[in-house]
Amino acid sequence: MHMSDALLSPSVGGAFWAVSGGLVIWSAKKIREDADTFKTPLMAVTGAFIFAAQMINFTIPGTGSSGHIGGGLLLAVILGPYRAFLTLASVLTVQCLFFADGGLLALGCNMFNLAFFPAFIAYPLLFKPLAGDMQNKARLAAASFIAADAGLLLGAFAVVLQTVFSGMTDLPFRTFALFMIPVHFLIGIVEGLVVFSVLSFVNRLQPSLIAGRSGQGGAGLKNVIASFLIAAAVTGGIVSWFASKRPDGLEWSIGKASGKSGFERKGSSARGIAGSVAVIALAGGIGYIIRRRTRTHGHS
Amino acid sequence: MNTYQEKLLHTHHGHTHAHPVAFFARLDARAVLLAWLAYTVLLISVPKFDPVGAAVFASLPVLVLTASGVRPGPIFRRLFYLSPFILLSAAANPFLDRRPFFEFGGIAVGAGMISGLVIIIKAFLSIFSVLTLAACMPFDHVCHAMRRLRVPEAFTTQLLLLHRYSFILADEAGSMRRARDIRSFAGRGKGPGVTARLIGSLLLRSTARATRIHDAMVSRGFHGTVSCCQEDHSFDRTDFFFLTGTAAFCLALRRFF
Amino acid sequence: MIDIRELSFTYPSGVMALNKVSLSVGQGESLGLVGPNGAGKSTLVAHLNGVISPSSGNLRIDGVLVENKNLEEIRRKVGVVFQDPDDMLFMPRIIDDVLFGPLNLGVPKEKAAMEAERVLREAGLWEMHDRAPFTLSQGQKRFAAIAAVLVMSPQVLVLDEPTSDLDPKNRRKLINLLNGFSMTRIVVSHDLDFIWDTCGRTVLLADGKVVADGKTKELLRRRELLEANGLELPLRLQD
Repeated sequence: MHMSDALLSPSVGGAFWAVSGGLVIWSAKKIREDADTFKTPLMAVTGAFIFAAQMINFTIPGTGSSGHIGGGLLLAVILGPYRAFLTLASVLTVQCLFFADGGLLALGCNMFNLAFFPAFIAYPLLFKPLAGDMQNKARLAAASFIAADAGLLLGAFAVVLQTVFSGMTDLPFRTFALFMIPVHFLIGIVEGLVVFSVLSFVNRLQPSLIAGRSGQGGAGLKNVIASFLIAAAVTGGIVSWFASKRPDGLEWSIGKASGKSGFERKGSSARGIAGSVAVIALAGGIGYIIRRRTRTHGHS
Repeated sequence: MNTYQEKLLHTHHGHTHAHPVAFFARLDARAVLLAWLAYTVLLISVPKFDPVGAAVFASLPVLVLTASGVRPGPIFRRLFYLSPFILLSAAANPFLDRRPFFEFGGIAVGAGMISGLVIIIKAFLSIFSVLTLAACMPFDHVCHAMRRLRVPEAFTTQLLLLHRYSFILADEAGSMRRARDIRSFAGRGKGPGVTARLIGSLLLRSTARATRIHDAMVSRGFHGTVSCCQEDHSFDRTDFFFLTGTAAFCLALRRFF
Repeated sequence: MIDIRELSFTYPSGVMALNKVSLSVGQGESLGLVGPNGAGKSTLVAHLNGVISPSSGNLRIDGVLVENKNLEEIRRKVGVVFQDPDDMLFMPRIIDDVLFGPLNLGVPKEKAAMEAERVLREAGLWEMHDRAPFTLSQGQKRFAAIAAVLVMSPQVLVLDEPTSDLDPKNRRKLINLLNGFSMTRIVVSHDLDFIWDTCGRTVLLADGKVVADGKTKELLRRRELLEANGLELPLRLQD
């Protein structure tokens, strides 16, 4: 579920943008230690693969509706956590710019919700220990379901928190959570099924594809936990700094969420409306004049 | 070319954007990106119950759209595809917050309606601005600007290569899906199991392609980083004025509306 | 220029693709490499610039042994145009792909740009230098891929199945282009008429072994030999 600019407040959006930006920089630094040049086109092609795979939707048995794979966990198994994170982040960026999925500031939230959790939490902490060397089918299946579901649930929960803390929508926390969690739990089961099937398939035909087999790609458990704690601390710190500027901290943000803050009446008068229409019309006029004076494309 | 690929290449505007549109041609792309960031932050800082304050932010994308000559049709069409998540969140407000906000022709308009409207307006403008911007700047200019803004090279190279190969893989996935759909009936044969196998073989083909691309790359001397081929502009006075002008304009909008 | 000695290669799956292949190619020679599917032609090509290392045997390019520590030098000397242009053109614009090689080899940006423009003009592609590869036709992509290799001024140019997706006009253009070159050339192709028109010498490879080696216009007339190895006479010689 992609987060949108419209539901974000600048503080929450900014906080997650900073965290995700930091994760991108850190991941890029970590992969430089690995001199394998093959990983560069591999990341690009598997990123494109995620795009393409999301185009192949399937009918969910019993519901008649269709869905598509998220792909985060699969990517982490093939590329390892750092490269999977960067690849997912790049896919989200392209989706933002070309398909307007989410928004510029929401990109930070989306990278955290949809890339960080599968790559740095679900894969190293759940999938890898459970699946082991992936020879045991039952363990592989369990690992796929649990890790895929956990990644999605954590992402969904993060969306709820980000939305509630931003306060733009009045959806109460409990209702929102009670709605998002079961839905994503079900989506996670299907994703787990697809991950398990794809991995069994790949394991049979080309086992060398799996990261960590050839000795690369695994992030140390300590590194991952450290990264999570730091990310949580930074995020929590920034958000609560804003929140604690009011005396009642958390109550303030919940209060904002239920609309008990003051109304802004400035813009809703007739004069305000007329003024804004005038500004927009003026902007259009200026744009038109600029257009007339320049050729469309800067062909030299 | 399918619609997916058209969107990635912006050919839905009727041609391929190999250059930035003339309006942006003389600007450093860094200034454009930073200005857009300022715009977005100030847009979402518009308070919860201020629809006019939000709507007036349409002025900047409108200006860019008309000045650039980019076709508005594809952009406006996308506006109608608000995600269910946004719609739900916006639609919930009128029910949850019924405090009267003001009177309009004898009817009391609830605060929740206003805040829901603000969400929708912001969502429209977020989509509007990102698509307009993306249509005005070729993707490799955006990536080059990011690199000069100290975004790690591994990430910007990844973006460029990803963009390049999305077309090809979209083709392959499309033909695989068509092959599956032709042979499936009444929804049978399209379940997760079949799809997983399709995805699996797409994955193997993708990695085989990655091997071939890698061979081609090392054959031409690739050793880990991709050198930059763009000309380096320096951040000059025009860029500075553009950036501060945009930020100042958005701040003024916030102040007066 | 190229000296291959008892080269053998076995894939990890156990398939022996090359079996003690020995071959010498002189400077400026134009060699055609033909054979049935699975003969080992593409595997041999991949050895020429060190993408694959031999299981046994060795090869030298211009006297330099092809091994890990010499790879950069080898890749300056040998330019390989692989079969699928989409694998060769991975940058956002054609000009970026043509600049990729020189910039990697440390050529200064201005000089690289001049060379790139020269090569693209020769290939007739300068007008599309800033277009994305995706917008080019298959033939244009093929020539762009060749340009991206030519710009590095290789001493050996290797082309793997260059005509498989070319229309007749572009195919003729490629024949003329190749015949205008003076560097050592190796062309792998099923298109025996193309080999006839561009290569003075032909080597027939089958099951990883050199089965025949001689003047193109003699070797490609030998119907029994060709048919015994999964090939046919060139179309121009058929009734």
